[in-house]
Amino acid sequence: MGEITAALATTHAPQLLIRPRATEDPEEVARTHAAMAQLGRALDESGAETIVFFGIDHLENYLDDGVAPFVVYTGDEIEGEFGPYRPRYRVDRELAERILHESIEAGIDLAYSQRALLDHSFIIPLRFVHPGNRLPIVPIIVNVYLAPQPTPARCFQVGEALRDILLRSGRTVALLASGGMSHYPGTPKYPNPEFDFDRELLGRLAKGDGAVMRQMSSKLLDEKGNVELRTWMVLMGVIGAETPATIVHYEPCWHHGHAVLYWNLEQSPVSRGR
Amino acid sequence: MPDTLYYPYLKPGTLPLNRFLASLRDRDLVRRFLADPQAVLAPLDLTDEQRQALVDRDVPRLVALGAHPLIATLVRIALELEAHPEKFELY
Repeated sequence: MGEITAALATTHAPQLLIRPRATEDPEEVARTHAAMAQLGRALDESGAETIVFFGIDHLENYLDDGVAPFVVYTGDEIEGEFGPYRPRYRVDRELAERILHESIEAGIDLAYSQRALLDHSFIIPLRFVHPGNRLPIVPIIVNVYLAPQPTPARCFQVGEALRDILLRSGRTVALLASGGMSHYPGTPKYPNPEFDFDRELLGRLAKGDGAVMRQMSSKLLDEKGNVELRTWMVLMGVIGAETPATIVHYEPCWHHGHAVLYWNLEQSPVSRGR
Repeated sequence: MPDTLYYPYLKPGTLPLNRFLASLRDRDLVRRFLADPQAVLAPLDLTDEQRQALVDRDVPRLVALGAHPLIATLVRIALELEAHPEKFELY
């Protein structure tokens, strides 16, 4: 029997690790760091022995070849790269391979890689949520920036398949979803994100009203600057969309809605082994 | 292919530009590009307008000429970080 003992989500905004001095407030950054440290305490207290990490690719591994909706990394170790940062992480290869194999058996066509390079969507959360690098990780990359991305409904479905796999795995697992909320890098809407959308959605998540996300369209996510929420959707498929969340922190800076939250698993079907 | 507002599918004609932007993850290439952009760009299959937009690091223009917005903006930041590291705080 496996267990899921933590379900966390956080922003991975680049300025959290490499801060442009002229345009990014260090106090705002510090508050987001503190919120991420709070997730780290929840992770430590959860007794998890491994982290299944839903991240993304900022067009660094996959651009014009092999762009898959979901990729699981199945090596022993993996490197990250962001500016001058070159961290290395231990991979929970046994669990990664189990996830890959059992997903394919269940009719979920996960792709896999044995040589990806993790980008800041992994590096930044791991640095501030898991600075001790105590646990191995299973990196799963969700395609969010190259159309056509997997639909929200499909993200939930993949999460649901992973739930069964993880609950059979005999492992004690933490889930971490990286990304969000509203931001529009490289576009004219950069200074004007949809913070009301973010606040409204967080209000729903706090009440356990996450099922609304299952009906969202790819078009809506693109419009609202929230293409990255797909990682949260996979996580919510694992734990149940009706699980209420505790919003640790939501602070919009001038171009990005930073959210840090965790789900209350004692109110989730997975806490009852279902 | 879906019509997207912000983050697109890369049409084949835009691939030379996007591939060049992606290649700038290599810090040696970044340094060479900063030192002599024309020399780095000369052998590439790019239009004159694309070359100029790259030299100018003009993200909106690059996007109008087919660059994926995310990669265009990340490259601009990487170039700035290499050229002016003092403008950034690293944690």
